[in-house]
Amino acid sequence: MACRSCRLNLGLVPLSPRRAVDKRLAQQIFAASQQQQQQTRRLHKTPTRCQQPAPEPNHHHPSAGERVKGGLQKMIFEPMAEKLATVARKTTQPYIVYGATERMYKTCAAQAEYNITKEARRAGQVKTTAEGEEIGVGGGMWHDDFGLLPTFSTWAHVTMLHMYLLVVRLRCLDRDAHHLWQAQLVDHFFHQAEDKMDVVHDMASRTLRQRYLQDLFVQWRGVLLAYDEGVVKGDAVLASAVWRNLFKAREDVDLRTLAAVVSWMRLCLKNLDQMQDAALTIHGPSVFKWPAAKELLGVDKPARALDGIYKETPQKHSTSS
Amino acid sequence: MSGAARSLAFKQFQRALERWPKDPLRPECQLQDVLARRLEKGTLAPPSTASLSGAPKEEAELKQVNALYTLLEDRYKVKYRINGQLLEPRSNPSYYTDLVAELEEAPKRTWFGRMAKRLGGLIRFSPS
Repeated sequence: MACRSCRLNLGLVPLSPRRAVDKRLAQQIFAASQQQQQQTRRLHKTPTRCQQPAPEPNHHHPSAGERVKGGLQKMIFEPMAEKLATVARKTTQPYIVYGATERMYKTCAAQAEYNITKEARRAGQVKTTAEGEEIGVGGGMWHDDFGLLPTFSTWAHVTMLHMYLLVVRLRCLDRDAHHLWQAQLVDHFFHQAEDKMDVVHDMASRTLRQRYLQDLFVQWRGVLLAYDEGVVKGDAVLASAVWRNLFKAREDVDLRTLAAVVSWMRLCLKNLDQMQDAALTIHGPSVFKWPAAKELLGVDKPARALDGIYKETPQKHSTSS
Repeated sequence: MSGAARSLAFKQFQRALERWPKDPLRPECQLQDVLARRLEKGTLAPPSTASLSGAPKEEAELKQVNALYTLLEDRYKVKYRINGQLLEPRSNPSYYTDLVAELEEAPKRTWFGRMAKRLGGLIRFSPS
């Protein structure tokens, strides 16, 4: 799909009537796929540790215009879209996958979200790390509890970590479906990465953004390799991989948080393993609802090698030692 | 005595670092080498606990050592064991075995071997 500046330019081009119909059809295909999702929600029978409360009923009363539009939608567009989805599956599949991966991706990207406001930049209040990275304002578990700075690279690595866990599960689809899903998921990430560089970090130069994106791609491939090695080999290797990537191989890493992240990754992989394919495509990111900080309690249980030397003291609900 | 307890923690920390698996692919960036600097500095706990002293500081240090040992004994891999087909993906059933074989072989390749691999990777055969 188009980059940000191309999308801005596309918005200026007047839509031909045929393009308007195509756009509506694509929207109905999303609506049709959402209907399918609600039907297949019942397939997700395996209970996970993160159960969502049922949503409250919607008490919206539609206006006359909305009722006509809703009527047209029900009588003409939705059946058309459903028919198209069954008959021309190969053509409509990428649109459905685009929407589904966008929902998956948004959950991954929201974990370590941060911002640098234009006012702060104009006032010259943007701090930088020793390596020259701009520090923004963030919140949430990854910044507050795990001591990561709200920078672009933290956001990128936390997002890549979540995407990696989904990719491991997506590998279990058929070969073509796997390629489609993984490629779309990764595309969303790189589009938003460039967007962030442009908007949040005021990087107007496209060549500079491209260079950083190439670095980011190399990091993504490295992340796939390193975490795969860790998942196969053992907790120590996985911890080393997380330390090198997420914690940037720094000396003052808190080993408890490192162990908590490894534990949380294994838990997510186990829950993803138990999820069926149809459930994965709808609410795969629900595995991320259990926060990694809650694994700290399990980390503090005494290890066998320290039997007699270290006894866990009963703690009240706190995530720091 | 707190001094003896602290030296015990230090000794256990050192033992854990000796048991840590060596990484042939990234020889310049090993966790055990970087953490060994904590032993020289004389404090095992990270700077977030720098304000503590006495018994809480010992406990913080012991917790760090404990975290290392939980990772060495594969506690989380066993606790959250994967029983299904996640590690035999349908799209490529030999993915992880091929990966492990490649990781074993890669550090031992000569310069010629690496060039041959790179040239071979330029040509891709795919059933389409």
